[in-house]
Amino acid sequence: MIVSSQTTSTLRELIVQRGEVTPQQVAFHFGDERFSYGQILSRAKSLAAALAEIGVGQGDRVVLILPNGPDFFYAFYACMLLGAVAVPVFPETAPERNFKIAGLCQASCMIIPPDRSDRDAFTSMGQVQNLPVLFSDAAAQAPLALPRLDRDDLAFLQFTSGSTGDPKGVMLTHANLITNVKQLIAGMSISKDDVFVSWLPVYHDMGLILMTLVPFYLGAKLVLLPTSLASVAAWLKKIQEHQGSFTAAPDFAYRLCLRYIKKLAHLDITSLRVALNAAEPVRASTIRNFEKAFSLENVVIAGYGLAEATVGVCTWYPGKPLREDARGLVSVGPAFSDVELEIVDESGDTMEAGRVGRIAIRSKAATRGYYNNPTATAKLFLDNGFFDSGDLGYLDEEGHLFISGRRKNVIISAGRTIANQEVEETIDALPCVKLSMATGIDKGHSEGEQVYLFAEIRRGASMDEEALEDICREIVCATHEKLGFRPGRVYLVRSGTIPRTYNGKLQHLKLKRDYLCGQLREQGRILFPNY
Amino acid sequence: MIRIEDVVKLVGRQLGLKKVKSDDRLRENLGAESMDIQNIVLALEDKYQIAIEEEEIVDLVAVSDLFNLVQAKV
Repeated sequence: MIVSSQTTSTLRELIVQRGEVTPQQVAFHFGDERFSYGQILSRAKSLAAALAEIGVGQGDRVVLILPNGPDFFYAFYACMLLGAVAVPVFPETAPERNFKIAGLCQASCMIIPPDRSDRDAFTSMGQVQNLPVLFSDAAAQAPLALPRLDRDDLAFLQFTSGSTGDPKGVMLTHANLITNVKQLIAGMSISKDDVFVSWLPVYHDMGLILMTLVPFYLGAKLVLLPTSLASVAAWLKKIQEHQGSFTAAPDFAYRLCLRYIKKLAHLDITSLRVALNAAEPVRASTIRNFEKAFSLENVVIAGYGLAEATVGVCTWYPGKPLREDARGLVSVGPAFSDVELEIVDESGDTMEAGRVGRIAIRSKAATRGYYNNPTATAKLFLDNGFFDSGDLGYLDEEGHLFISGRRKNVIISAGRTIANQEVEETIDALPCVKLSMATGIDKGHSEGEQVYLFAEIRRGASMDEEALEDICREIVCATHEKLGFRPGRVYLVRSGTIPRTYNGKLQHLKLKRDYLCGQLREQGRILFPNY
Repeated sequence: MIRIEDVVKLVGRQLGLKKVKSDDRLRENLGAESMDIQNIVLALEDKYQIAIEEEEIVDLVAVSDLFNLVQAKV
């Protein structure tokens, strides 16, 4: 019997069909190991039984704090079997942030890897908050009762930073996911003969949906890597070794390859058919230089998407030369099937081709809103059923989209979207800091925007260099510990330096301008360091 | 005059570490990721008013490599 993915309407059906009909088939390669669909299904079943034992059932939210690797799939599909709602989160942040998300979605359980070094912190915090913390190797043998599952039931919540820094859970149903999977397949002419190679995080939309659900849906080969890009060489080597034909990454990853080009140029990655460049602004120079360096032609294509549309909205045509406009923007292509794009002005009226405005989207794969957050959901949707992407751009005469900017106050650094406000809240919580501001500064280097932090320190704090040095270190450590990255630069500034409007709103653009034109330094506003 | 202590201090400031030695390896000993190394290089560029090429970053292993790179440029 052949698995007919055409009839699959839920992710549970997907994994049950693959696991029962072709149990021996390899679902993905990870490290030197192979994991079959049968293995995923059987481990997912025993983990689902363990979840059921502690009372997790249909519709309950389960927070997954798992990195790339087999355990993620066991846990994710255990949720699908139970009809529970998976909530995958960035695993490299402090337990507090994960518990905050668990609180926001009123989770019933949290799953972490058994070998996590701070597992005791999770367990004890779970006890305090009355939230069971389960290890991903948990298993029970009790027979599993599978509740009825509808395609419009929630499959998972994709938490996004949003503009305010309060994480919001984008609700995605089985129908949303299957619809977007089909749109992605049609939009990039993906087939079961494609070989996927991915290091993108499986706990985030592009890595999970495009790079794992699509190959699972098609039964295509998937080679998965850990997310660490300590060596981009590992990525390209896997493409060479497995004759990879499909990969995806943000622009910075391609730029990183160009930086290490002397060590990588000997690799043959001409098996690639599509290398999607998405999730941050796409540079024409990156595409041209990468293709030239690796003897590729019309393989790297620009794409655009966001969690509110499940993930993919549009991509450039595989096999066609990129289109660049007079401003140097690269087109991210025409809308996928069943996706409508409109450019609207501030009052929501449609604008003509060529004019820059807000990008509004209507799609069968669009979310119904943010979990338990009617205020944010109401703001998301316009009157005509379109939703506001928060990004700015225009459509050319042929309906090709060009992205020109974003309205949301976020920093995009090394492919990760960081909400200014979340960073600021972390720094403002330090006793030595009075007020802080985070902003993204792009100096044109390969990593993209750097996170710059400006902090006013409290009166009475010692001004000697050693003390200021300590405060800088404290800020870096807090950011690293809580948010999983280190800022590009920390400036300690005089009280009253951080500009605000009359009603107290931080003026990020003003500070950025004053810094870049040298005014902050000239006026002696920067206390430390002296460069 | 470039002093190795200043480069060591700058690295510690960027990584949030108090005890950094000149022979520490950036990735293995200090836990720096590629973004952190980029940030250190950008800070050195600003501090010493120099330009460091992307290709030069590739060969950076230890803190002392940063010092040598800067010294050769000032």
